[in-house]
Amino acid sequence: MNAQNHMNYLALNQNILNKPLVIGKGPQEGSSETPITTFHGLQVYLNGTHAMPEHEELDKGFTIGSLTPPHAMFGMPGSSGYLSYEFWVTKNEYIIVVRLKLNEFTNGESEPAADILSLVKKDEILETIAQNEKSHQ
Amino acid sequence: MICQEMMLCHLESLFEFYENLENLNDWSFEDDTLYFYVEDHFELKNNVKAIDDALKE
Repeated sequence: MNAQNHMNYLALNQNILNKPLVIGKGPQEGSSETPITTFHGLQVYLNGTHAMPEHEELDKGFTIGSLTPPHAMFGMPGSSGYLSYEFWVTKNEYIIVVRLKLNEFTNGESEPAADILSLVKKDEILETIAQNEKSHQ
Repeated sequence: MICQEMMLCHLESLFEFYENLENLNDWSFEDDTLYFYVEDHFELKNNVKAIDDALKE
């Protein structure tokens, strides 16, 4: 991985996924086994907080959107970055993928770093949500 | 709804130290689904804060 791509990877893990960086180990993964329960009872595994479950191959996806935080990387100088989010469906899960590319003016040309942001297991979705058509719109 | 709830979990930590949308003047957004989720996040946050404040009185 070249230096510019590595900076994207560090910024994504440290500033977006909130993973502490440890010498000799890199980003420290989340360890909680208990997913977050949302208002509607969805069980969500968040990368950086939870031990992320294994998942099936990404099948169908669509873009959720993008934004540009002014401080995607702190440093001298710091850098803004382009954050984008995609929603993916697999055989057994729903997955959100996040991508971060730091500003080329400060970081140079690079490929965006990408990782799973959050995951929901289909078999952990409550019957009431699964049967509600609005859940799938 | 599934996608929105998954995103709201993330937005909670991304915007933990921002009170409202006006504090994000130096952020850039597109007119897309994500921006709708961001608006929704701050609406929920402000509603919870209002309830919290009312309970303290």
